[in-house]
Amino acid sequence: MKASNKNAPRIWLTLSLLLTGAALTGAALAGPGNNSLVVGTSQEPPNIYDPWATNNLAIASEINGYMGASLVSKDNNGDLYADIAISVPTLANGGYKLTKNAKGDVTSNSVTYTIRKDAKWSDGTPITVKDFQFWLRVEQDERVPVPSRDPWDKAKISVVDGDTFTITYDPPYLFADQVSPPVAPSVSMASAWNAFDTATAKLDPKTSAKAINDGWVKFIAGFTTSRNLPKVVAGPFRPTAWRAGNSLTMVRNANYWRTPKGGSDKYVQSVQYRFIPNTNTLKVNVLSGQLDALSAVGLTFDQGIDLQRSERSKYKTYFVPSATWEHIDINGFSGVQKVKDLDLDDRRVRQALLYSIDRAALTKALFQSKQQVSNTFVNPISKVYKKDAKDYGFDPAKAKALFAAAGWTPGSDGVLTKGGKKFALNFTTTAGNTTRERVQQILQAQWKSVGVQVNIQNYPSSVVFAQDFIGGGSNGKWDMLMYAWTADPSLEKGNLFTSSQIPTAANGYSGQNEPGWKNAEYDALWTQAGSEFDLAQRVKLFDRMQSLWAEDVPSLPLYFRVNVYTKVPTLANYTFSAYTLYPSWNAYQIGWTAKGAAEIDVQK
Amino acid sequence: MATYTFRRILQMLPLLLLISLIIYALTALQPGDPVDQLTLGNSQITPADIARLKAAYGLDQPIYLRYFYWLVQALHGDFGWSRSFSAPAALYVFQERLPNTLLLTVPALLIALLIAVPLGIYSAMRQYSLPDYVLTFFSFVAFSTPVFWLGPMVLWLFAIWLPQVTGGAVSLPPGGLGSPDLDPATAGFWAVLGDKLKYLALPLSVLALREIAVILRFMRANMLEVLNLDYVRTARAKGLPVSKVVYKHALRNAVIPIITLLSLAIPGLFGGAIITETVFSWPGMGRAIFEGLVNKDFNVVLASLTFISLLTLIFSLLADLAYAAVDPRIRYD
Amino acid sequence: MTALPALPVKPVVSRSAGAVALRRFRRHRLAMFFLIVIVLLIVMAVSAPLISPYDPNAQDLSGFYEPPSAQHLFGKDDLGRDILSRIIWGSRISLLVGFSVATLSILIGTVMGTLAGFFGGRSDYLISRFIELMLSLPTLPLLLVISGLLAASDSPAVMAFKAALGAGSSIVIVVAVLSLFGWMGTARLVRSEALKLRNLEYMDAARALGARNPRLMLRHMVPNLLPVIIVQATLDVGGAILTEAALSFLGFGIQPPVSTWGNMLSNAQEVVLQYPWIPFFPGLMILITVLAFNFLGDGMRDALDPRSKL
Repeated sequence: MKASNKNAPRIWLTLSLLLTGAALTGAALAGPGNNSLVVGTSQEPPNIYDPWATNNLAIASEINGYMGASLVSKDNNGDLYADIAISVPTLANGGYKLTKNAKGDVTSNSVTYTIRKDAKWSDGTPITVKDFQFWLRVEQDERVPVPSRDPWDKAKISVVDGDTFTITYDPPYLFADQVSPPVAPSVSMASAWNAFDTATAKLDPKTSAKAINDGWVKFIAGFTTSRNLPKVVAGPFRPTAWRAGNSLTMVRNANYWRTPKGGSDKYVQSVQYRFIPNTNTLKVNVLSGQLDALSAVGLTFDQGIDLQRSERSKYKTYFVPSATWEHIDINGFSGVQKVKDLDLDDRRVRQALLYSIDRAALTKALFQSKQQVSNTFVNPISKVYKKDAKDYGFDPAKAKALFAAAGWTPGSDGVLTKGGKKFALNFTTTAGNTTRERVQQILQAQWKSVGVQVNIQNYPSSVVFAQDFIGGGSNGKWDMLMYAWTADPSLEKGNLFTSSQIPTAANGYSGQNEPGWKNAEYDALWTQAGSEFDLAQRVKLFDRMQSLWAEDVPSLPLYFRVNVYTKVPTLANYTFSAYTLYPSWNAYQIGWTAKGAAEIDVQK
Repeated sequence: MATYTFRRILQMLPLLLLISLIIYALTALQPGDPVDQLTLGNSQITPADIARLKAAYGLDQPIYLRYFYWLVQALHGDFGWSRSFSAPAALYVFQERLPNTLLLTVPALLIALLIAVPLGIYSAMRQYSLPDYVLTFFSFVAFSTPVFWLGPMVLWLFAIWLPQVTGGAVSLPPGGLGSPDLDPATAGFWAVLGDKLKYLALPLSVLALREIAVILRFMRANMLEVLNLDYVRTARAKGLPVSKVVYKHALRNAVIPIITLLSLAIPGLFGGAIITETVFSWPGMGRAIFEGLVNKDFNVVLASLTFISLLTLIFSLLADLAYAAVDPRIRYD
Repeated sequence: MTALPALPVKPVVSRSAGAVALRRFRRHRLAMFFLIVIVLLIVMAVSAPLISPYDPNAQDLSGFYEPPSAQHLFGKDDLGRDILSRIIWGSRISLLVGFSVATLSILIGTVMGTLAGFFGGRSDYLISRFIELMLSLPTLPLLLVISGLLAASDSPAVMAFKAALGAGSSIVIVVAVLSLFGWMGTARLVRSEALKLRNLEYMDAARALGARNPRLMLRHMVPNLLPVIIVQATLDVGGAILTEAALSFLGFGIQPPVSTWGNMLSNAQEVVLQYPWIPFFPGLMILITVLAFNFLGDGMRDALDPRSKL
């Protein structure tokens, strides 16, 4: 007994010495030293380089940027540039064609691309029209669980000659010149695809959907996972190692065709992603210099502000406007008793709710005004954005007047009342999202001062984004719901607020018009805009659509979010915008100035 | 004893079935399904797309049929595909997550036992002495410290502050499973071990600290009780040396609570420590279940929960058998 | 704590068990000290509206994360609210959750454990299997699962419950769920102790003297189980406060803007490295409170042990 109780502290001491001792060695290898790039992110993708994006996450899109190449792509300004194609097809150069009927309506459109002679897969085989045809054939295959086939379900590829092909959309696709068909390595995938094809050919897609899906999963997992890395890729980097839960390494692809200024050897030779799910740990990694840069999928705004404060010239923090619109949907389903009671289906009440919050003060206090207050659902950088949409500046007097007009007057406790009912409603957002919960509490306090009693009722994001919750406005699942939509600003169609998108039991609560807003004129304009190929005309239609929307405010617009990332100052061409979304868009030019990389693209 | 064991194993089967039913029901009745994850925020999705995807993931079937299919498959060892990890769920949980978790929880428990059991006994024997007060105080403080407060604090201390003041001489990695620069396939055994220890040091210490506190308290309380039992007091009164009394009488009785403790610790052993795993970015079972729920990757949740339950049942049976083995007064009839 | 009212105070006899226990308890200085701490904590919780220097929900949009100062002793939080005031108000919820959960889970656990250990046989079998079932379900993930179910529930009962309690519903849910998953430890310990006691000679003797089961259980079994129960109860109060914090950490706790030490600590997670005072004070309060309950339990264990010297 004596012996053991003496030993115990010694064991502890020995152990702690051992542990600290082990810690004395080893420092991180990051930075320009070996011309590599180490990027930290809080998410790990389930798979990479799935050409059909059957299981997509933001982080996968970012990483795919290093390994992928497309015919044409967008740069930070939203302008197209050619990558696999030799040039950008436009109406002016005849690459993009509209077919019109006698009335002048566009009946179909087509884009013709010519593949560069030196465009090769990473194994040296040339990229051919067959690879695009293969991609489209699989995309259109009923057995493949692609979330949405729009616009590829109406596309057809026809070969012009060896390197040139035309893709035709019939009915026409509004943004045919803005996107280009993706590509898949047909040679590399051929035998596995044929195996899937024959194994499932006889299965009835109605009754054997799950068996078919299992077959698909087996096929695609052979090319996209940590156990089975993509065999060939097209982009400037190719994957070499993926240690699940830890890191993914890519090295420069010698067969990639575009060369950065001064030669590839002056630019980053390998890129390593480190998956660090805990954002605090991620932050510590930045502070201790173990990471050269952060992914666009990394930090929250608050953490970015904190990192900015401790920069000490070791790294720099950037705040980049994103395509993510933060807003509060107001339940507008008149069939819900509470909506009727509180007159939430009355535009005046919604306007009053918007007038009573000081969004400018909120974004100033929380986001140093880096996130601009928005007045409509359209991204300010979009060409169809209405600059002079109705601006609901903070105006409590107007708010009170509007409430009064709808019959709501302050009771003895200051809370608005009407016919004995108090104006009290629930305010829901994703629990655990600190930024949202702070915004929520500021708004709650602001509403309180005009007599609106807001109860916070948050749920984990898995609950909030469940189809029957977020789409359950008609069942009274929520009164006010704060969340965000992300949309490519150059592909704005105004889909969010057409009445055809109202979630109902009949459509399984899918559809994204969550507040249930219904406006006949908006619907008509939306239909018209959907087939309006003249941008100037579309701008006019959207102007009116946004006026209607801003007058009715089915949702309270808050702001467009910014993404935060950090990078070491000498890392060049690691940039992105709301168009490119991820710094990997320009992967082939990322490099260290100390190694001779030329800084061509500066982060705005 | 043999018949008892056999009977218990037989009784385990319906229990396991019941557990699987509860687990499946709770998971499948969750609001939302994997298709939400695929369609979220995509404004092109049509109701037809959703119906098609639901069929592809087998979600168009009624829940009792889904449970039945799942059970049949599970009995064949097939727990389905993990969408968020792109691997068979069972294989993934067994090969990636369970080893990570055991690497963290087993050493933590062993270290805690090695340290806390003797200290607990010592503390009890010297009740109200200075070491007893110090140990008691320590264990209370350790027990009362929230892991997600202590975690970031030690992270800051060892990953930021100490490297700064020592010029990088003392530095621990701020979380993770191992150095990304080190490839276990090519690096030598000692290099890998050293690297692992470095990454394990903080989460292991935080986890062990808490367990030391719990076990120490528990051990001390039970030992005190045993020391006060009449026959032990009689033995002491007879003039037997303290150490002999402790060895012959007290210690034996104190083993029972240790077994209880162990059987209580076992679910945590396999289930992992979600919070510690979260703070230190340690991809173990706890996080697998948590992430599975968040990402609606139900196959991983089901596979993990089933393994944990099965292993827990097996070990609690072993604990019961161990009771009988060490304490002849417990009769299983 | 839960054991306090159970003190068998008999004023007639001068050296009653209660008086002896009280005398022994007073000798335990740390326990005495922390008893005073707990009394102070309770006083603080009860008189929160009187002693709180500021409105705990009053925001200051220009004063986020202010360090401690003469006006704001503990500094300001992520919305410029006075941390001291939030701690004072938060003590109400944290203590309420701690006490309620400990009481409920000890109650359930003791009943279950005693029934199993005392009667053995079929009841032991059923209860033991039930405990095994509960123990083999991992707590935290299931708490999340249950929260999800409650959130999405359309059932009129759940809707009515939420409407009736408003902001309080999340507290009741947290208490219920924590108790539901908190009693098995006690039950197991009590069961194994009871199993041991059942076979001890004095029980046989009592039985031989004609004592019946209820008497045996209450008179001979339960007092002997008290040390175990008390140790467990003290751990439970702190444990419940800690678990409430953990739930907040995982996104299922008590709804803002109501402050609990747990959610104050969790909300500070992302800034712990920059503004250490923000998590420091609620963390310290949790630490002190849990410490206090543990020492109190320790003192009571010594005082109440029927087998220690009189």
